[in-house]
Amino acid sequence: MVLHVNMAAAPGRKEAETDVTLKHTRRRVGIWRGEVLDAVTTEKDGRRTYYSYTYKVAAAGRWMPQVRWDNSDGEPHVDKYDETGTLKERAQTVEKRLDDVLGTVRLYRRELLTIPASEL
Amino acid sequence: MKVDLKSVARGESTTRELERLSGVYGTLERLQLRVGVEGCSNPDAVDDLELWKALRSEDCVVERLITYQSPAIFAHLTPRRLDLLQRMAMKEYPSIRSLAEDCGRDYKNVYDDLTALKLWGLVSLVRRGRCVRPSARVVEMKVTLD
Repeated sequence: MVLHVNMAAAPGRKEAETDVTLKHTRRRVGIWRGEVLDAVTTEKDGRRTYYSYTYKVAAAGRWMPQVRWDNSDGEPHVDKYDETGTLKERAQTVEKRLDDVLGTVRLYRRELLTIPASEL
Repeated sequence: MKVDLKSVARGESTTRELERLSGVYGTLERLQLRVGVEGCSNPDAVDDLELWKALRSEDCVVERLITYQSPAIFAHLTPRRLDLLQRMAMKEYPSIRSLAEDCGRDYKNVYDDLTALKLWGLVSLVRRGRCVRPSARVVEMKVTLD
């Protein structure tokens, strides 16, 4: 059963479809209370050119990054942060997909902090 | 149960995204400099740089999705907060005060509600001089009961 609510719907209004060559998507996936995964991707002509998947925990009114997988420097890598959100460790890795990262994050959650970056 | 929240911005409606970025970082060049220095020490800035570069393309579409797989979010979606979201989805407000006046509610209470919604990623609050401009980040909600 699906309940669908469109808060900006206007009767008879339908958005015109246009060809999209560049699509930037930001997705927040709730993992647990006070834990989310922020996924950011850019696709050009259907091909993914940028991705970042950041596991964050809520602390002091902010979302603090804990582990991040991305290809922002042109090379896929994984970064780990300490409890204050300060970058402390980096390791090279292979290209990641959202489903892979989600599986890892849901399985380990806060225990990710105890796993070396090279093994993530 | 799965709750999906979505908004799509294309063409002129991406100006809100640009306004948010300008409000936070100033200019694209400043953001590039900052990312050049801080790199992944500031992951949000890295992602925002990618967004800003994408927005320079005329046919860019920005899609925002939020997925929650527990009903916990409903404890925070009170009728008054849903009313705020709906008002912001239908109309732009230059400040929190203008939104509060439109609702006929106290400024402090509206501010508290917006702060709670912001933590769930449902609204953005961009400082513009002395005012804070609220805007809805989602306009569509889908609840799937499995």
